[in-house]
Formats: sequence, structure tokens, C-alpha cells
Amino acid sequence: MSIHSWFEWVDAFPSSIAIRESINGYPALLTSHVVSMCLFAGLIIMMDLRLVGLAYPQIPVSQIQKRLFPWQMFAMGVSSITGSLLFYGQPLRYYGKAFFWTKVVLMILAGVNALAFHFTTYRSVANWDGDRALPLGAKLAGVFSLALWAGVVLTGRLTAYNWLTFN
Amino acid sequence: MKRTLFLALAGIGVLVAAAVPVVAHHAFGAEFDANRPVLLKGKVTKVEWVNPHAWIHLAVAKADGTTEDWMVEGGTPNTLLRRGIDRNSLTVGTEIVVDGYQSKDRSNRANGRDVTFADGKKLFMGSSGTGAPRDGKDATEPPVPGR
Repeated sequence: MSIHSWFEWVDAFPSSIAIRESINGYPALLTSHVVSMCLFAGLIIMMDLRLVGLAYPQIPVSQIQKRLFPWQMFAMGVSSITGSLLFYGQPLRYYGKAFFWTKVVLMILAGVNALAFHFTTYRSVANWDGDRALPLGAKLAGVFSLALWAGVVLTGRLTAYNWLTFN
Repeated sequence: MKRTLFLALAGIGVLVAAAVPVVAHHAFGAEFDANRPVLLKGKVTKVEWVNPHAWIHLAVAKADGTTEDWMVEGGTPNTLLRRGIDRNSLTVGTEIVVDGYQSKDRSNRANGRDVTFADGKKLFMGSSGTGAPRDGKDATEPPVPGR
């Protein structure tokens, strides 16, 4: 089965149709998606600014991580669920959108970047926790994260338009 | 240094906030041409009641007796419902006249400003406030500044 026929199959589900044709459900999903995305992006940006050395230089990185992490995960959860439902409601609309697939790729890269940081550089956090200027690995993780998430927000917004849409 | 950074971030914040109203709607100007008004008269062939924009397909009768297929963008199903247009009022076969603006790529697509039914009832289609030309016909729309 090709990806397109799989998308067509999902597109015909009554629950998928109900989402895209809903009077209040769709606006509620879209609003929740945007609000949770703002919360998530805001918290991610604050962590990244600490990593690159622009914010909270006097606060240990592990302290910021400990405080922001639960909120980041909560916001990511809401954003992921609402985003998945929006996609589920219109798979064929997104199928040919270059901006949408670029966004997906950027999100995967941002995820890989965060995991790579936590399993390599962050393991030795005790050695540089309170430093103002962090190791290169941490700075790079911050810069990549800022760039990738900015790209996600931008391509997410551009997905609303019909530009670069193929069939 | 700190003060400069703060001012720079505040400046960016103001710019972003100012840009939001322009892009908050999937803007009229992104796809439609305000200088290409079209008046489409024909029978509804299909209606896609989908978010974020509903699409009305109609077979426009041409002078030579043939028809031409057009698709007209409206607001969200929610917007249309509040404007008085729903599944019962707009069914396949309904004779309508749509006042709108053609797409910039000159395909048979348009943004619908208002729709007129056979009985003369005229309803707005949800383009108000999206950047479509404000011609003053829609009383719920804020007036054009300076007028």
C-alpha cells in the first residue's frame, strides 16, 4: 500500500471527517495547539539562552533544567496531541505540503539534538554546572535548538498557505 | 550589555506582535487579487464543509451555453454558520451568485465576499477582516481608517 492510499484510508474515517468539518472542535484544537506551542517554545528558548550564555549566567544549568523540564514536557504533550489530531483530521491536505514535511524533519532533528546533548555533554554537567561560559557541546546544542525550533514555528505557520503544495 | 540585550529582545517582541494581525488569518493577500473582482453565477456542484476554509464548487454558466467549474473559498464552517450559511441553505443544485476576487495565479479559484440566493437573500462568506478590500458593504466590519 502506498503512503497516499494509506492517507486516503485515514481521510475517510468518520472521526477524521468529524474533526475537519467540526464547528467548534477544530478551532479549539488549533487554538490549544498554538497556545501550548508558545509555552513549549518559550521554555525551550530560555534553556537554550542559558546554554549559549545569554540568560541566567549565575544559575546552575541543572537547576534551570530541573525547573523547566516538567513544564516543557507538559507543553510538548499538549502540543503533540493537538497537532496529531489536526493532522489526523486532514491527512490529504498535508500530504503534498512541502512546508509541513520540512517541519516534521526539523522537529525530528530538534529531538535528536536534545537527546544527543543529554546523553553526551549533559552527562558531565557536574563539572561545568555553574560556569558562565559552557563547553562547546552545550553552546552548540543551544544554537542548534534555537535555529531548529525557529524553523519549526516558521514552517508550521507557512503550512497554512497553499504555497509549495504538490499533488 | 544587559540593557542592550533587553532592549533588543523587547524590540523583536514588538515587531513580532505587530506582525501577528497580518498573518493570524491565512491572509487574503497571500492568494487572492483585490484588483480582480469576479461575479460568478451558477449552480452549486459540491460544497466542502472543511476547516480552515470551506470551498463551494459551482458550474458557472457562460454566454455560449457551456459551463466552467469554479471553486470559491469561504470562511470556516463556524464563520459561515454565524453568517447564516449551512448545509441546509447551500445544497448541490442551488442557484447562486458569488461576488468575489480571483486567485493571483489566475486559476478558476476565488475568495468569496458574499453570496446571493435566488430569492434575493444576500449573505457574507467570511472574508471580512482577512485583508480583502473593505468596500463598506459589510456593516459588521470596522470602517476604513480616515473615512
